[in-house]
Amino acid sequence: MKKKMYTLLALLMVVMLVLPACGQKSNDSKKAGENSSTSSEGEGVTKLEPYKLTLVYPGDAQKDLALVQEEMSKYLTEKINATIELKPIDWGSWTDKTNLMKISGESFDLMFTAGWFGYGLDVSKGQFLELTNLLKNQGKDIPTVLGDDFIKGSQISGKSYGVPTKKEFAQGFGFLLNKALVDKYQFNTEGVKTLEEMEEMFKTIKENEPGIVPVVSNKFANTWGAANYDNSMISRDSKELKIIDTLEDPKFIDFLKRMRQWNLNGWFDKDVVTSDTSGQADNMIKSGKAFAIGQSLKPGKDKEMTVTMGLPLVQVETALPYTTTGEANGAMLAISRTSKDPERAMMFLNMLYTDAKLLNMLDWGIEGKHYVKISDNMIDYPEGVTADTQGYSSPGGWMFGNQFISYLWANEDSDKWEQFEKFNASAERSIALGFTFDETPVKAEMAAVSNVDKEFQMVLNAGAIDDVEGTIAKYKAKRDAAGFQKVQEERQRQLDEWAKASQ
Amino acid sequence: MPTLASSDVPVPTVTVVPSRQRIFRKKIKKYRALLLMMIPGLAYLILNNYIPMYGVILAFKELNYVDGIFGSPWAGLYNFKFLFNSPDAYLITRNTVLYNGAFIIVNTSIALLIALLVNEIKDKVVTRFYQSTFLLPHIISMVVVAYLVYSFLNAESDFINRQLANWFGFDSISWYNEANYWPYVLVIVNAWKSVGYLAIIYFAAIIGIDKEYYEAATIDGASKWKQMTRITIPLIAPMIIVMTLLSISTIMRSDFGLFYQVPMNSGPLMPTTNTIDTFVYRAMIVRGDIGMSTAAGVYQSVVCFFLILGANFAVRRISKDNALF
Repeated sequence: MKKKMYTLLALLMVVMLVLPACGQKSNDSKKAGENSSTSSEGEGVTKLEPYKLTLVYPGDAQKDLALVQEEMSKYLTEKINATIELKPIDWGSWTDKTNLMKISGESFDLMFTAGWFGYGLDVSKGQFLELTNLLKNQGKDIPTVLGDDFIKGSQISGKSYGVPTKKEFAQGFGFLLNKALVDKYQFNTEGVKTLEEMEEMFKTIKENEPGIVPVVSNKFANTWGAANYDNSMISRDSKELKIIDTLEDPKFIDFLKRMRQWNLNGWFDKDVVTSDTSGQADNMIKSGKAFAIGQSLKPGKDKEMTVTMGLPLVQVETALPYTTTGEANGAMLAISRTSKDPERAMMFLNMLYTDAKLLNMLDWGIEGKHYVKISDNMIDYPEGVTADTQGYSSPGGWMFGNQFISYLWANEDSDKWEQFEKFNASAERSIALGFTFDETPVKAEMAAVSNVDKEFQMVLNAGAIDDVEGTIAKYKAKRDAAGFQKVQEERQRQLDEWAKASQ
Repeated sequence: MPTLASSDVPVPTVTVVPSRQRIFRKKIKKYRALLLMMIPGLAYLILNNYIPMYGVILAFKELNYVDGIFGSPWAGLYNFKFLFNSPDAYLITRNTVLYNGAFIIVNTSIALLIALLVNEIKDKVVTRFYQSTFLLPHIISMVVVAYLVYSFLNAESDFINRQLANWFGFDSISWYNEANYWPYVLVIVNAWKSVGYLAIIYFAAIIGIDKEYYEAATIDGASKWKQMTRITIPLIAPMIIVMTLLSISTIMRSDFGLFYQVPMNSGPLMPTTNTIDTFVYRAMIVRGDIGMSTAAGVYQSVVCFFLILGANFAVRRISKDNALF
C-alpha cells in the first residue's frame, strides 16, 4: 500500500512537472479607440449606418496603434461613416491565430493574404468573398488603378477573391555583389549578364582574394529556376501551355552540372548546403567575407539590402524580369465571408487605391508625429525621432492598396515609382499568368512529394554531390513513388481547363 | 423454489448495500483533503485535454470554413493517405521509434549513474552545484542548442574539424552532408539536454530512501557496490518504471527542435533525421491543411495509446505493484 502510494505520488509530481504551460492567454486584440469618434458625421454620408471595419494583417502591434486607428477612424467617418480597428497579428503566430478566427467564424472584414500565404487554400475552403460585383460598384476605381493583367493574374478560375497591392509586377533575377570588390576589380554590372560573364567575376575573386568566398549559399539555383520556369511547371521559353518536369529538361540538368562545377571550383562556401538556413550566408555577406549571393531583384533592391546588411551592395541581373501569377497575387487584401458589411469593406479598399491621405496614414502614421513632409511626396522622421524611437513603424507599404501613392522616405530614390512603372512595363508576362494550381485533389501526393524535394533539391542546388545524373535519377524514382505523376497529370488537366476558360 | 430463493437472497443484499455506501462515504470523508486537491488538476485535464478531443473528427473531414467543423463533408481516411502512401512512411516511423528507444535506454542509464554518483557526494554545496549544472541544458531552447551544435560542426569555423581532427589525425568530415553520423550526434545532443532533468528526479527518489537500510547493510559488511545494486536500485525501481512508461507513451512523437533545428533542416541528412513530426511539418509548411495534420496527430496518439497499454500490461505481469494502472 505504501509502495503504491509512493508510485502514485511520484507519478503525480512528474505529471505536474511535465504538463505543458497553457500559454494562449495573451489576447492582444486591441480594443482601444474602438468607440471613439463615431459621432461626428459628415454630410452626404447620412444614408450609411455607422460601421466598424476590422483589418487583419501580419505585423507587430505598434505603440501608437490606437492613435493611428483613431485618426483613421475620424477620417473614415467623414468619408464613408465607418471606423476602423487595426488588428496586427505577429508573423510567428499568424497561422494559429487566423486559423482559429476562420474556423470559429469570428467576424472581421478584411484580411491580408497572398499566393504564398494560403490564398488558394482559403478560397477553396470558402473563407473569402467573391468580389466581382463589389468591384463593379463600390470598388470601381480599383481595376482602373491596377490594370487588367494584375486583376486577371490574381484571379482563381476567372473570379477575384482578393485585390492585389499595386507594387512591382515582375521579378528580376540575379546576384547582390559586394560593392567594394566590384569597384576594386571594375566589374561591369550594367545590363543582363550571362552566367559565363558571372563566372569570370567569380574566377577573378577566387584567384585574387583568398579570404573571400565568391558565391555564398545555394539560393542562386532557386533564383535561376524562377527566372526560367513559371512555378517550376512551365518553361519560360515555351509558347505552349504544357506542364513539364524540370528534372527532365536538359537546360536544368546542365545548370545543376554547372552548380557542381562551381562547387568543385571552390566558389561556394564550405557550408553551402546549410548556410542559408543557419543564417551564416547573410553573416558572411555582412562581414564582407563573401562576394555574391543569389537574389530575386526589383529596382532599388540593392539600396534596400545595403541598409539591411550594413555594407554597400550592388545588384546585377542574370535574366530579364518575368511576371507570373506569383507576382500578381504576391500581396492582397480579401474580404472575409464573416464581414457584416462587405460593401463598406470594398469602399474602404477603393479608398486605399485612390486616397493618398488614408493610405499614408495606414502606412506611416500621423503627419507631424510619426513623419514630416520634406516635399510633396517625400517624408522623413520628425526632429528627435529615429527608427528606434518612433511610435508607429510601418507594417509594410507593400501590403496595402496602391503603393505608388504612398510617400517615399528621404533615403529612397525620388523617382522610385517611375522606376517601378518602367520595370513593370519591361517585364515579360508568363503565358500562364493568372493560372493558380489548386492542390486539393492531389494534396496527399503533394505532401509526400514536398518531403522528397526537400531531401534532394538542396544538395543538387549546392552542387554538393558527385554524381549529378545518378542523384537526379534517384530523386525522380523516389518522387514517382510519392505520386508525382498523378500531380503532373492534375496540373496539366487544370491548366487545360484554365486555358479553355480564359480564351 | 424460485420464490424461496428470491426471498432468501435479499436478506444479505439489504445488509450489504448500505454498508457499501457507508464505506464509500467513509472513504470520501477520510480522503476529502486529497480529493479536494485533485479538483484543480482534474478540471485542468477536462478543460485542456478532454474537451478539445472532439477535434479528432477533423482527421476524417474535408474542412471548409463555411460549413464549420461539424458541417464539413466526411473525407473517410483520405487525410491519412499522405502518411502511408509516401515512400518515406516506413523510414519516418522507424526513425521515430528507434530514436526514442535509444533515448530511453541511454538517458535512463546515464541519469541513474549521475544520480547514484551525486548521492555519494557528502558536501551539500557541491551537490547543489552539480544538480544545477546538469539541469542547465534542460532549460536552454532547442534553437540555441542547434547553434551550439552548429558551432561545433559547421565547416567554416568548427571546433571538431579544426581542432580535434588535427589532434587525432582524422580527416575532416562534412557533418551536415553525411547522414551516417547523425544517429550518434542526435543521441548525444539529446542526452546532454535531458539527462540532468531525469537525474534530479532519480536523485530525489534516492534521497527519500530510509537511511536505516544502509546502516544495516554497512553493519552486515555490504560494500558500496552491493548497497547500490541491492538497496538503491530496487528501491527506486518504481520511479524508473514510471519514467520509462511515460517515455514509452510518447515514443511516436519526436522533439521537433531536435530533429528539425539541430540538423539545420539539411536535405542530405533526412534519411536519418526525418521523423513523423518533421515529415508532417515539411508536408504542411506550404498547405497548412488542418485535416491532414490532425490525421497525423491521431495516428501518433492511437499508436502511443496501445503502446502504453502494452507496456503497462507487461509491467503488471512482472510486478503488479509497479504498474501504473
